[in-house]
Amino acid sequence: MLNAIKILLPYLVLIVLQFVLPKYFSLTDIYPNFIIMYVLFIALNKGTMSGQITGFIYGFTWDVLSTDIFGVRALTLTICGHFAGKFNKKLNKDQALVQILLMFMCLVITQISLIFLYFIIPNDFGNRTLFSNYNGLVSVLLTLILTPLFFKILNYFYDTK
Amino acid sequence: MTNKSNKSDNFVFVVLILFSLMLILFRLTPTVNMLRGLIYQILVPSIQFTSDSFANTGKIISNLIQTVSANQQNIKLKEEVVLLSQQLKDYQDLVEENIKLKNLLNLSHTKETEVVYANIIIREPVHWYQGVIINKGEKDGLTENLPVLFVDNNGIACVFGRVSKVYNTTAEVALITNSLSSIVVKINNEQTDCLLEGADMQYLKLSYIPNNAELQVGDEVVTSKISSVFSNDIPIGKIVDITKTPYNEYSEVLVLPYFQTQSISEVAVLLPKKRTS
Repeated sequence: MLNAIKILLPYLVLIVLQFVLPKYFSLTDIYPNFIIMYVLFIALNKGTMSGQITGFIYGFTWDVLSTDIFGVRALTLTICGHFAGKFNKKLNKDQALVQILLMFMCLVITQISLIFLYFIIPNDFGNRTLFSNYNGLVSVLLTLILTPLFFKILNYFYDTK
Repeated sequence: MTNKSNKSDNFVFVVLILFSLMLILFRLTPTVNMLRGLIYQILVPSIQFTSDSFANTGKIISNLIQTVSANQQNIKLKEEVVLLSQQLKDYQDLVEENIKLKNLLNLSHTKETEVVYANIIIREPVHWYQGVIINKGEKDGLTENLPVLFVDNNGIACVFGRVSKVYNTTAEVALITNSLSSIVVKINNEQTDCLLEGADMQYLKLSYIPNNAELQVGDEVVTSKISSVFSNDIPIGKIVDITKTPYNEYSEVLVLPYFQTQSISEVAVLLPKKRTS
């Protein structure tokens, strides 16, 4: 029961944070990507297996709630979780600079995968990647800046030792 | 031991990647759509509940303030009701007269509409200018291509988008800023119609502008009567930038839609009124 709550609660909180709150706090598309932050956190602390499964579940949920091509987020976040998991126990994950660099790597991996997917499957609802315009770049910066803070908050809830 | 764990990690990775690729490749098949719909139906109630809770928390404070001033307004409104009831009677007479005259001239009747108010439950930052998901669907009578408006801070209904996909209890709304959206519009002080197109960004682009049109920054853009989705004269936004070619032709005219200037959580969908015979 406690395990189920431990999995479901962050899931619901993150979905609300990513999909419900933007309409209250933002007038533009500038908004940090909390889901990728969470996938990176799990991958760094729990390893490749947990990282890729978390990436897949959250990516799949994103796909269900999105107007994007179905399956692209599941694919990109699984790739991101897998590669981020490779750094588990290899780097000092508590250092803010390491967290920011790894987050940048994750964002680059997901965006390159998205650009490739959009290239082979044009989307009916408009193709956009974070690096394609000014607001997207600001969102990337915001995600990078907030990563250490988000990790600190998550450290309170997860046993990361 | 580590090798074994690596092997199982890689095996699961390959399985997940293959599964994701299958979802992408077969995304239009009924099986994948059914799976998506099933997960969607499981997730949406909890998201809707949270979204409504946030909206209601904000409303409680404003309701308290409104209750205080409601009493004073009530007295004024009572006086107005008496006046308006007399005007309504005159209006009804005019409507009847109008119908009679239209019948005599064989003109078509004005379209009657009803309004369904809906809350925006999902607005994804990655697709900020493309679309939103609202909490009303097929069950509430929504169909594709219905006009969606919002009421601005001055109480004026302005264009927001159109219904693009309808589910049982929710619907997707394609915003006018979506690159697939275009509306026939007119500029308030001009008589000619132009085309206003979305560009997946904050601004809309105005095209097919006649060379003799005299546009100015700040001019209001409203819907034209030949628009297939919207009624005549609904405000959309204001011109914010005009670029001209060396030959004095309009090369780019940018319009800032009114919905980009405020936070919106509630919209109104206009439905054709069902005639009761």
